[in-house]
Amino acid sequence: MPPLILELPWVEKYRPKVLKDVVGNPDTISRLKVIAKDGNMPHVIISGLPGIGKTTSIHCLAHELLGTSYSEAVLELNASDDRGIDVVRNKIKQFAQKKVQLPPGRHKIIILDEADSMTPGAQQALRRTMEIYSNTTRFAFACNQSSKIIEPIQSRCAILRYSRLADAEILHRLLEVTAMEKVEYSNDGLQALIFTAEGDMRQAINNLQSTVSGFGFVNEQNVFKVVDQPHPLVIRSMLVAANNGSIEESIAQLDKLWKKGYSPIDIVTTSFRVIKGLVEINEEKRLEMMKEIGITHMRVLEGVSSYLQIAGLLARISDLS
Amino acid sequence: MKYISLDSDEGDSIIDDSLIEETGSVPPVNHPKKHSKTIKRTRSINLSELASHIGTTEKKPRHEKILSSSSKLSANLSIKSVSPSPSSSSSSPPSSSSSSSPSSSWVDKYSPTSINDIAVHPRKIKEVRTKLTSMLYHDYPPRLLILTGPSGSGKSTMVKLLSQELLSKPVLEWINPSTIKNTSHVDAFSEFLKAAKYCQGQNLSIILVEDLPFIFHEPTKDAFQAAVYQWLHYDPLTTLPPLVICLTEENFENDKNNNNFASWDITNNFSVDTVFGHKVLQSHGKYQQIKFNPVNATLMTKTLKRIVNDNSQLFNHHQLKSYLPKLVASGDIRSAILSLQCWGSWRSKAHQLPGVTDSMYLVFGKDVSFDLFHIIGKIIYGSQKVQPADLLRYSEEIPGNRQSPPDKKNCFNGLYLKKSSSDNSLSLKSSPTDQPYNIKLATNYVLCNTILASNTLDLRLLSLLILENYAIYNCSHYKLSKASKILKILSLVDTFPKWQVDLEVATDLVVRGTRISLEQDISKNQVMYLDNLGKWSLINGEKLLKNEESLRNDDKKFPLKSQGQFVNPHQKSSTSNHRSSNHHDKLGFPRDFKLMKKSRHTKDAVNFHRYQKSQTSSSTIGILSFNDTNLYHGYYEAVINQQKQFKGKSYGYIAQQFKDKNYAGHPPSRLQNKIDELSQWSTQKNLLIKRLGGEINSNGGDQAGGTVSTMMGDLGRNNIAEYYKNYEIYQGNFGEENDYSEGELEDDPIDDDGDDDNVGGGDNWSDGEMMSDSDLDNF
Repeated sequence: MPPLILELPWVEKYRPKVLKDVVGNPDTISRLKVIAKDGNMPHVIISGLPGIGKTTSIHCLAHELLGTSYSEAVLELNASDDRGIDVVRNKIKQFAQKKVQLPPGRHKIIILDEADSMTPGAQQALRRTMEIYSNTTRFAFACNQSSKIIEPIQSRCAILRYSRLADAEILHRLLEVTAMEKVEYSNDGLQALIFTAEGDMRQAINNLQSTVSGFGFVNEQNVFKVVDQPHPLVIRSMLVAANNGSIEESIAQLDKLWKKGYSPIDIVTTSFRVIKGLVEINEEKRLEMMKEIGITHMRVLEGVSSYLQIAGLLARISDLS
Repeated sequence: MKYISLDSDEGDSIIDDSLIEETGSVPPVNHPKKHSKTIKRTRSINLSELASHIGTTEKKPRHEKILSSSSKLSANLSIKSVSPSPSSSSSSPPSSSSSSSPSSSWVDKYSPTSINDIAVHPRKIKEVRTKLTSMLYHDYPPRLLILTGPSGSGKSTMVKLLSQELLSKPVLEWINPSTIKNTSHVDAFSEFLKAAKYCQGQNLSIILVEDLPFIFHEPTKDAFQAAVYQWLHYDPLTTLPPLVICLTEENFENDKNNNNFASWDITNNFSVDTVFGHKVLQSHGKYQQIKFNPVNATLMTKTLKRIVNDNSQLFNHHQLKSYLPKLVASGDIRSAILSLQCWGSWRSKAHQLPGVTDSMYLVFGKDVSFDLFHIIGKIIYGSQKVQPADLLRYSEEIPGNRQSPPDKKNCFNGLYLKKSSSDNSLSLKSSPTDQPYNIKLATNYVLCNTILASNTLDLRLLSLLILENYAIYNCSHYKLSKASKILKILSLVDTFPKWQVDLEVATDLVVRGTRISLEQDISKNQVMYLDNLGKWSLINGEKLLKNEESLRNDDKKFPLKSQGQFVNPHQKSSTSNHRSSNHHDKLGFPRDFKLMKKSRHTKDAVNFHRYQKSQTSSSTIGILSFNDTNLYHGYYEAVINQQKQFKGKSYGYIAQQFKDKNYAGHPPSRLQNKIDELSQWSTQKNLLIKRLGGEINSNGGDQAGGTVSTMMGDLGRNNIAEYYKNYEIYQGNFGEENDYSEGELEDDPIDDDGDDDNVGGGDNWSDGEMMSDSDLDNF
């Protein structure tokens, strides 16, 4: 019997190992490349939304800077580790005091992932440590909001802001992964993956893997089955119909979604994203529609998640024209 | 070879016994008192020294001071410099020693070596120097100097440099020990202070505390405050070395802040009040506080220019011109230098790397507010051009940039994948020139996408900024209906429930809504004219946003352009430097902020009052919620109490003056003024109290304050003899004489009242402390 091979999550399997493979934010990444080449990494804070390569790029940087001594010269702590005052006091300080033979211009690196979840107290305790050991040890923080990091630490760090990945950038990486995994796909399948990922690479690759392991073939239907979102094409025809004033057709599309059991909040959020790309409707009109969707969104969030609200939305949209 | 030991350089010379023993490495110097119970070690860093050691692998002699209180050594021996190397402690020019090392950080490399280089206002330098000198050499000096200010404003650097200047030796700095065997963390600091007491005579040093003990832990905080208090109240005849504590005050935004039951405490307010506590801050005259401001633009530019000149090969001066102001705006010199270094080395290498665009807006420092204004500018003005890279990035999504998609119904994403005919692979490559498309539309679309892609947007702030600034577009010369459209969107977004809203939706709505509304207006052909009544109106009868009064002075019909723009002769000159053809007013900061600031200030004042109550009295006030405190006592009581305390001190001070100089009967006119002022104040206070519904009894009686005011009321304006007698009685009642005031009238605290720079209170008159203590005991 062949041994059971458990496949690594693709997110891990295809996590970039070198900086040049990291997708998106070319300018910021180029800065890291310069650091990787020159050494002398400053303390850095990388901030940005989830799934845009913050942790990955720090790891790549550390690998490129330290090479084989990575395992002994890098200390990584993330939110799941205890990062209270004791850790800052002992673990981090002891690591900072540890002597590791490194080429000139290279420093030990302490990676603090999800640093915005550290308490202000622990951060306060960190600031002096950063300065005292700065000639041997450098810190890299990854966080979603740099404003959650206290001022004194921000003052000591170069702050790199990552912006959301563009659809083309995600597509690029998806194509690479599909090629390596020999995945069969259709174009609409990739489109659907990108649509559902919303600029989050991790999400895109996870969805790709789920679709492949669930259905084997990546097409639109399968992707939307996996991610369980209302199909944007249905939403689209619903909105277009409403916009053209044919409310019956629009409601019919809504019923289709409703019978599948999608909640109003799903329908509304997808509608919002669909309407953004609905360029054949002129801008002013589209803005009005966005506003109507926004109002419904708000009501749904307030708890009025009923069929009536969505139907009312469609009625208002058809009333606009 | 790998081994574990302590790093050899200065930076790592804090050692612990435990660590040494655990790692088994032998420190290069012997520690004579190694096993004594209370070995306290600290080390002195001097920035320039540090800089000179960077990148060198050479072993430097340990420059470490060991304090040992248990050794019962005589005072002058208790601090032992194990092997001070005179050359390294002197400030050598760092550029010579470290310019060879590529690994040095500019923050260290260009750290000032003399007090004249430091980027702090000379007046502030003088102030700190005077204070420190008096702390070092005068009798009965204040014992503690608290420096506050934003990070990167040069607080500790200045102390270190002044230590070099005044004592020609580095400061003695407290560093939190990582592990201590025989003392707990709680007591470590007080042990340190106990030992530091003996830094006198030959060993006289300035003691710097920058790395505060972990005061978020209640017992540690109590121990810290007690230690500082003890330090201040140590036998007044003993001279103590000057203690300097640097503090970056900060408010932590957390959920607690919005909770009415939240206390004023260190978890949300890292400030002098919470760090030192009530008791220490009541010790007037024994400590001084100096507040630093953010580094001002001139000094910052000067320093940065010096660095730029030193590294001119890295910089393109044309680009630098537009980059420097951004750095300067932050007011944080450390962050600015760091950013400059990052930017410089990146710029100089960027062209070697493929695929790097020429983005000027890559900023490495903390300058979120600048970013935000930049974004607001983009949203409101729109942009004539977009980064070509961005255009390419979104080119496939741009409306109109489409080669008639094969199946229109199938596009839901704005993203069209094209199958190239040669092979079956997908490609996104398409040059924007494939097909002409609506540049304006594309620019707009790309702009919104780039704005939305940056994650620094705080929705609330963004809405407020747009609300403040939407009217500046084209000097408000656009249709009222457009403005109302923008406002509708803003208010809609504002009503979104904040705790669960899909932020993306809301932000998108705000950005796109504003941009599209504004963009459309000028794309339509409109003609504006000034009607006979002197009012601007549109031909189609719609009103203009701009209020008519401001335009009334233009009493002529101006030739109007189509495209909804018109030329106002008054603005023509002012906007000539603006690249855009539109006329816009300037961006402003949301005025809501002022209100928020004020409201926060008030909240803090009431909270502080509540905190004081809980500290000073055993009554139930301490456990009242914010709302209750506010209702029972109101904002005014907090203010009144503050004033009372303050004026009470002045009263004692003046009385002291009489006593000292035997002015009885012949008050100089200046004193007379003060007395007038005081009696005026007491009337004011009574009025205020009356307005609040009479004397407040719940706060433990107003005895001391009452005494002061009745005394002031009874006091005839010229009856100084009686005043003097009253003072004697007052003194007899509330404490024994404690007479070492050496203050001058010029330094009367009343004059310092509004002084931003010097909020310490208790300046130069040490006598007030006694009064205020008794004053407060009665609360």
